[in-house]
Parts: sequence; C-alpha cells; structure tokens
Amino acid sequence: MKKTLPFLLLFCLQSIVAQKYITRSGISTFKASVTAFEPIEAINKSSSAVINNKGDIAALLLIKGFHFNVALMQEHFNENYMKSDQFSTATFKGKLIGFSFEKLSTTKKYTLNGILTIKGIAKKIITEAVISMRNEKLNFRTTFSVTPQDFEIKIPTIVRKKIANDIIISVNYELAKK
Amino acid sequence: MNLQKSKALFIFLFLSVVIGFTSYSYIYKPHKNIESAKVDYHGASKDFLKKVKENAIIWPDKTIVLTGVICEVDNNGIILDNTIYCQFKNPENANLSNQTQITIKGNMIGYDDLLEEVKLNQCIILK
Repeated sequence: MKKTLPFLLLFCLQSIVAQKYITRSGISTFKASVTAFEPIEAINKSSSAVINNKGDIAALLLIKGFHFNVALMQEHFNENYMKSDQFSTATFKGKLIGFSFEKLSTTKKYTLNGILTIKGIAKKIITEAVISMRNEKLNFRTTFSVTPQDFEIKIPTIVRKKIANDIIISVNYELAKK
Repeated sequence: MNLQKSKALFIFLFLSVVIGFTSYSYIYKPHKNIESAKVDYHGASKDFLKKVKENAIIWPDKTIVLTGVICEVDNNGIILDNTIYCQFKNPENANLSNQTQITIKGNMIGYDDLLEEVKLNQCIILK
C-alpha cells in the first residue's frame, strides 16, 4: 500500500496535466468577397490547434494549405499578399475566459482573447467562441474580422475595389482528447 | 475595298479569339495535379523530417513521395512514423490500418512547429 500510493498519485497527477484536446485537420476559412465581383475566399482544412484544461488555446495554420477555387488567385495570395515563402505560418495564441473541461457537457459561449500573428505581425483579437462536446470530441467555433492593413498587406489599386476591407475569418475545429 | 474590309474584320476576330483564349486559360489555369506532378523528393518519412528541419524554406509546394509506417489514422488522413501528417486528396483510408507500411505521393505544405510535424495534402496512395 505504501508503495502503490505514490504511484497512484503520480498517475492522477499525470491525467490532470495531460488533459488536452488537439486537432491537425481543423477547418479555417476566410472571405474577402465584394458583392458583384468574383468571390474571394479560401479554405484551409489542415489547421492545427491545442486546447488545455485552463482554456489556453494555440493554433497554427500553414499558409500554403489554403485552397482557392481559382488557382491563379491562390498563387497571387501566396506570392504577393502573404509572402508565404518567407512567412509560412499564421499562429494564434490565446485564452478562453472561464473555461474548464467540467463545463463541457453543454454548448457554451466564451470570450476568446489572444494574439493573431500573420506575416510576423501580431494583432490582438477579442471575440466570442462557441464550444460544445459531441461524441467525445470538442467542437470549437469562432468568427472575427481583420483588415489587410493590420498585417501590412498591400493591395494594388487595380483590384482594390474587388477585395473587401473587412476580411472575415471563421474557424471550426473538432478536437480529440490526447 | 469590300474584300479588304472583310479581311481586316477576319483578322480582328481571329486575334480577339486568340487573346481571349490565352487570357482565359491564364486566369483559369488548373490547380497542380498531384498524379502527374514531377517528384521532387523520394525517400523514407523519417529522413524527410531531418531534411525539412535542416532547411524548411525550400520544401513547401514540392511534390514528395514517402514510404513509412502508419501510426495513426483519422477521418482525413494518416500519420507516418509520428512525424508526417498526410491528408488524402480523396479520403480513402477506410481500409488502412496502423503498423502497416505505405508509400504515398503528396504536396508538401509546410512544417508545423506547434505539433512538430510535416504536413502534406492532396496525398494519393502509391503502394
């Protein structure tokens, strides 16, 4: 008994520490479409994210993982707007205020606070996130908007009217227990 | 006079069609086709991670053929040797199981330093 107790404690401790949910195939989309022009939107189906018991959240997107319907648009996005050879990732680090795994049984809204880094430039994001639990999987959804100027993305005047100034980013991740 | 006019009209129409077609095929050019793309790297998945860590910048958008052992299967793809996450072009992994060897061809999209993995998409199974 004396020997098993420390082991048991260690085991319990580990299960607390190791409680986190991860995904490597999260879906992130953005829309910068202006009505009457060709839609400008892309989807990334390989976003990575980790959420732990304290509500800390970290996400990483590979810019080259964005898919556009028009291949030329994808090429311009990577080469001219995002400079993805130099800045290959976009990251988000933040916190879900008041989050804990115990509350997971119901769908709940949380305030999400964090830093979004694109092209090496950081921007503070405050938004609302919806979290629910379905079939042992944690579903994380949020939407917020940014502008091209936030990340020093220059848009040539010739296409200026075709790209919306508010770019809407939506995220829908299904995270599994790790 | 009349003949000259119709000749000019014909040349004008011909040029418009050519220019129209060229610009259309430039603007709506197809996406990279993984089946026919030239292979840029061929090897074992374990060696590839080392290569990527040496110089991560040169690899994105390259076409990679990798052989490795499946260690995890999910709805979208597989993980090879705990290091490479491969997402399938057409999810066809229903009959794949862990601990089997596989060779895939895919498009490298980058190194994920959050999960410390290399990511490939549009993967197809070769063997």
